Amino acid sequence: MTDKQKNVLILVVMLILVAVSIVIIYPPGEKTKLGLDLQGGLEVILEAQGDVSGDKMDQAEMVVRNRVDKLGVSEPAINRQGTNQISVGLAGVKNVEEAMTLIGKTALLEFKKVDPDMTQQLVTGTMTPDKLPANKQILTQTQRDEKGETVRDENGQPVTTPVVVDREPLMTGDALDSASVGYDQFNKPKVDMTFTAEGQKKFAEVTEKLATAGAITGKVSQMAIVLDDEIVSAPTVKDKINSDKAEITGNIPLKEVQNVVLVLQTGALPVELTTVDKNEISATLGKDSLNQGLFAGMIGLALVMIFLLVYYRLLGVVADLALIIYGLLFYAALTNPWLTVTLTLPGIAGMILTVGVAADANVVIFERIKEEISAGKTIRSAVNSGYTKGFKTILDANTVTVITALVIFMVATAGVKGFALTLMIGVVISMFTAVVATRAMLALLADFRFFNNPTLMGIKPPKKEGVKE
Amino acid sequence: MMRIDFMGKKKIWFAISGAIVLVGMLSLATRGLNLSIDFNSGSRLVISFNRDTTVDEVRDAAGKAGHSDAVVQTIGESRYQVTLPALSTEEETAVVSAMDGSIGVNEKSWKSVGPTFGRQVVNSMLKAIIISWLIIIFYVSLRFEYKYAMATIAALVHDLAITVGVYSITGREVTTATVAAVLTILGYSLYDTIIVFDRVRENAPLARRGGYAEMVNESIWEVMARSIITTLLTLMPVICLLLFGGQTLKDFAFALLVGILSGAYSSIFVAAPLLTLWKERETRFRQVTKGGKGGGKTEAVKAR
Repeated sequence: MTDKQKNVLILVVMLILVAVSIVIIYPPGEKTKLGLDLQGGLEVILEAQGDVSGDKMDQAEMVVRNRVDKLGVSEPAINRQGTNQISVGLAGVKNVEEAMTLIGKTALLEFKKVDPDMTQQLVTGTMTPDKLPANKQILTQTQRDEKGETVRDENGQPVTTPVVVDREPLMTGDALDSASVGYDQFNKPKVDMTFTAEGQKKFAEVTEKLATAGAITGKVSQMAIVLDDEIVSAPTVKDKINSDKAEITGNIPLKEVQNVVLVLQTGALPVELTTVDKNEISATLGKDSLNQGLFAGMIGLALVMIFLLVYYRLLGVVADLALIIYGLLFYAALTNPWLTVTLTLPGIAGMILTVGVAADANVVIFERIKEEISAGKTIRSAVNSGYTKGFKTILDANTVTVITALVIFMVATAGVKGFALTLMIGVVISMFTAVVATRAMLALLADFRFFNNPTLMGIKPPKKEGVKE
Repeated sequence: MMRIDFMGKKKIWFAISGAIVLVGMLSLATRGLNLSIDFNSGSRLVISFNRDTTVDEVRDAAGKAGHSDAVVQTIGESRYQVTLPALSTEEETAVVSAMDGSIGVNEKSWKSVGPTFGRQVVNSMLKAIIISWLIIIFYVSLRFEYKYAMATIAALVHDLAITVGVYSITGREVTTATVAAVLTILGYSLYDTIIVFDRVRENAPLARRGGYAEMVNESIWEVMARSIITTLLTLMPVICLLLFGGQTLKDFAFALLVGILSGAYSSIFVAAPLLTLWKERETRFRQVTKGGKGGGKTEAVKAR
């Protein structure tokens, strides 16, 4: 194959790639997967507390996944991060507070015995909390008004009542088989729980003990139903209950009943998860960021193209053409249907930086070509040696950039990964468009006579004496 | 054209760099860095309202919700940024509803970072710096030789010191975006240095005649046009980003701007002279330098 055939082949391949890119991109703007920072949404990183095994993290991830699914958000992104973190990405969440409570709730359900005497002493002030015996603990119950709304003080803080209970639970959520939303005779929502066979036995035992104790002391026995250290309800127990059913009632709004049911259904988290990083981006902020970034990128690209055109004339036309092809291929790479690439805000920054990298590859080569022409070479051979010598330099320089980007990609936090990713994609594509494609174009152009005019390339005619020794 | 003797005046360049770095480090020691909530933990609200309002009014509203320590700034045309200590989701809701009550909230975005996360971010960034530098030393040593690699790293340290110094002096906020940008731009500064060194390596055989310093001078002149043009070309989009981009993009762009300028400077005025200094100690080049024409290398270059 002659050089000419090879160059034609390269250009044909390039044209096919451009055509494929256009097919991939079309219709523009609709297929690119945008990160939450550009389309708006909620991103949370949950961290497990204490030492956790991989097993427990797997379970925790599954519980979180189940809960998120129940939220009904389309395409949630749930990923493990490091050894003890779970990241949750949700696009288009309406009620962030509710989503947050649901996702991160441990949902540890416990049944605890209320100590009426100590509660009384605590409320009247005859006992201070520090005098509490080690086997007791103070839990709180949020006060509700008739409508079931949380009562709040003038600062907007919920009003709570302290209740003293035995630290040791009578039984836990393990005893539960299922949970569902039900309604009492006044059509008020309640939580219906069904016990497992074992749970039923245990519940009967526990209620019998409570009823007996109440009969002996002459005081009503209360059993607190505790969810994540918060008393949801504290029904009185007068008799032994031998049933596989139990319920949580007490003027609870439907929404909250549904939430309690949801977390009970999806099960308790095996570890306590705390939110270490939370990003909530409004859709308008995301859209503004995207538009500003694209606008800045467009202007930047335009300036670079004008500069190349003015400074390198005909060579600049070739470089500009290569930049346009670069833009198309890059866009297609972002939109490709095979390997999902998410464009984030830092990604846009990386993308814009690569415009400089792509243009620079051409500058390195063109300056070489100019040097070679000044040294008295013909344009054809100057183009040849310019590329051969320039390529080595560009390869070294780009390898180093890719190494840095790769390390950032592997080590850095999620937000910054996008920056490294677009930078890598851009550098690799630019090697192809700025070096291989321009070379083929220039080599073919060199066959035309008009091309052999140095002034067309922004080069002064070769000096007689030659600059190089 | 007047030719600057890059190598002969190396003391001047070192003095300039030294002075800039020193001022930066003094500022770092006294003023420190303005670290964002990414590193410190905290909650940050970006909010826009249904009607025109003022920073004072926003601050008052935050105060009503029990956060008189809120730092309020305007960003962009219609948005306000409120920085608070780390809040729970419930507390965040309370702040927004207080503002909604007094001003009327249009849209809001929150970012909150817990203390452990900030530490992780710092650790991962430090890890990234160390790993990438080790790989780079290895790569440059492989492609060139280790003296080139050491000079390259010296230029990198220089750029890093200057960037950190600029951040300390300007008091600009340091975010994770900043750190990532600095990391990459260090890679980019390397790119500059490699292009200079590439030419030096190519011209190295010439050093036997005119001395190492002169050969490096010549090499720098040969790549000068490229260095200037590239720096301009890379700066164009970055400056656009700084002018038109939103908050995060501005953070990136500023770090890139400082890094690109410092990188372009250091490849010529720090890395190349250091390499020369070191190489001239090698016997084969030392003899050439000593045995050079009468007045030494400076004059030899001027005479060209």
